[in-house]
Amino acid sequence: MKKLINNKYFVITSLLLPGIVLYGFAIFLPIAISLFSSLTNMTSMNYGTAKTVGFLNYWNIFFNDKTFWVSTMHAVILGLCYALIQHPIAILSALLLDKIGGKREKVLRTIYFLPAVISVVVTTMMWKNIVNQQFGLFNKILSSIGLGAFQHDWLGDPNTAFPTILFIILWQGFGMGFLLYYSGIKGIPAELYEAAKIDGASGLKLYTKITIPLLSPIIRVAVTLGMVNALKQMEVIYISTSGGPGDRTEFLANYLYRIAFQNMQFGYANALSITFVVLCLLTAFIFNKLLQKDIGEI
Amino acid sequence: MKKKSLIKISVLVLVVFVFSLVVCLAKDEVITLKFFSSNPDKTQGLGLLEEICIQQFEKANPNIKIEQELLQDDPYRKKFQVYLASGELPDVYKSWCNIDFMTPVINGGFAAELNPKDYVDRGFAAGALDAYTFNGKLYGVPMYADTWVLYYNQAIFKKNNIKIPQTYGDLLSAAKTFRAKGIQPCAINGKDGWPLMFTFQQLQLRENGDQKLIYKACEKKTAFMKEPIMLQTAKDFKALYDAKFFQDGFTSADYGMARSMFVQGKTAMYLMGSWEMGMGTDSNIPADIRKNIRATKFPVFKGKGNIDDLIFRIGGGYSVNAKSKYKDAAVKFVNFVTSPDIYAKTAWQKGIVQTPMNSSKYVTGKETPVQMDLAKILKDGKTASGILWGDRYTPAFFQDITRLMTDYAVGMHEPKELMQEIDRLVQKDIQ
Repeated sequence: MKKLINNKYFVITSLLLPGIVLYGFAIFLPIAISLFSSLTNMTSMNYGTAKTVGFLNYWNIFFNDKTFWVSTMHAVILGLCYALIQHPIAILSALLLDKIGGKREKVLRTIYFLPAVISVVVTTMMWKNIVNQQFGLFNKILSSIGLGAFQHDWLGDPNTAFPTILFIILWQGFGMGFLLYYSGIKGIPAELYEAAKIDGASGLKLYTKITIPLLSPIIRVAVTLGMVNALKQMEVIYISTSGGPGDRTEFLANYLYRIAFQNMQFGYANALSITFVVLCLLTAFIFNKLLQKDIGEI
Repeated sequence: MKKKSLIKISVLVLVVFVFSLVVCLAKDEVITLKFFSSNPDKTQGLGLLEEICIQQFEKANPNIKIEQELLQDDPYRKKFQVYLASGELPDVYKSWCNIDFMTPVINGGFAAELNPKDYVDRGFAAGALDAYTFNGKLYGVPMYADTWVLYYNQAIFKKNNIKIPQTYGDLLSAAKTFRAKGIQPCAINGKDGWPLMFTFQQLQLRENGDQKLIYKACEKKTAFMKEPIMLQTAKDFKALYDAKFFQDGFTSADYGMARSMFVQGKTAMYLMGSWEMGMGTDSNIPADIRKNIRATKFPVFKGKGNIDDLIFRIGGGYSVNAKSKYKDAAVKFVNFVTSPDIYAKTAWQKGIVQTPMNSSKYVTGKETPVQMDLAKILKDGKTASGILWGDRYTPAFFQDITRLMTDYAVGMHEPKELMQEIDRLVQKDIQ
């Protein structure tokens, strides 16, 4: 017995075993089941009698499923909108706020950050009601300023549904983006600006030569987070449009949910979820490679 | 002395113990049945109906308590799937007799086989029990008889001097007149898609009176593209959209929003199932609107179809979990609450819902006008559709068709494209 206790491999194994077993049951087993299910034609109609179909589900995802590609494209567009619209505005707001100072800065900072602390469900419902054609505030405002001709069903019209959804998502994410940049700006030492001023720098040059370069690690983090957010976008879509009309506002996570829990096509949904995870890992990997040099892994 | 006292005390304790044991054994064991349903509002409508039936059962069976779990329709279906997957379905649950709902329940061994003889003398409409019969076995008791009808606000029609639509042409002209007066003609929850799916089948039925054609097309015995009547139906539907027959933004309106528009008097009509009979007694609806709510048969095309061909189905019922610990008590509960003198009588006399049972003996003369309208529509019915085309096959087909219907309503497809898309979905989703 004493010999056994003194055996370091026995001790290590016995200490690790409970954790490994737990981890295996909680993580590896579901993944293995998901992987296996993704190779079957399992639906709610054929529990227990589902057949393996090889990689047919994956083939269909990549070559026959228009919605999958549209959803991926929407995630890319949203990621670009984060990078090209939301973040520049957030940086600009953070810079302006930094200049204001005093009590007003504190008040405005709270207001800017407010959307980020309210539940996504609440804000989505709020926007859904604001743009509602029957009783929405937005259409009422349009009508009152003489733009009644533009009144319509913003989330139901195939032409305006996606831009409206983009606006809602960008609005919701603004607070978090703002906070990142604001804290980044606050972290830049004042001495750098003073030194630059002594060297003759002024106005815009201070921003382009000091603020933006020093913010670049934060910009990269924010862009990565934005891309990941874009890929896993779900709540806003599910609550507001459920991906419709058609697949005009569809995103991968919502599509996956629909196939699994509404269409009850579990085999196909598992194949989608595996593809989804691989896509997310791939995105994270690519961004990690791009950013590794400057700020380390995320 | 000490020893004697000890013996006395021991004997006393033994007597008390034996007496308590006898009392406990003599008393009936109280069991608790878990009941899972989708009518959470117990103050009115179907929720009230369930509550009354349960109360009567508990009164008659003091040794059986009913523990209720009630959720709205959509969350109900989702939680049901969770229960199904975990194998922990409650003892009695609300079910739908659609193949896609019942198949996994039956295959998983969660639906108890009921004895058809128990329901022989209950006055069920012909075919009602058949809806719950799979492979010759009865797995549920039907509770709701659903007909697709056109509700209308009598006062709005009268005030604007518009006649109640009897033909498709009337629908279009009513839409035109109402719109000209700034009134939105008809409410529908287009976001859900299924009311549009119902209406599509109704229009096709009005076009040629063939109840089976749409099912033949779904079962690949023909194709939507091959049937000119289907294309014509798609055009008829489009004409309704083009005439702005439905309320503004109807493709974003959910059930509650569409209903509230009608019961607030913001639309003149409401296209919905007969399960909304309770609007006539709903105290939340302003009295001046409530008393003006009426129902009419879905209009016909002149010279085509028959106004008494109904889009009619059994809308749901109760099933018993075959794996329930208290299966016999659960069956007893279902048989009690579905007995005509409890269920059909309460449903009729409170004006809550149409049941598939004969309610004529419960007429009191205090019925609401809409209740009488709906009873007449059902009584006049010549043929019935049964489970609708979207509901009949797989969950994927239902979801895809309902989405497609909404897409068509927002103008994303032309009629021909709609036919092609339906055929594509038939191939994809129905094996």
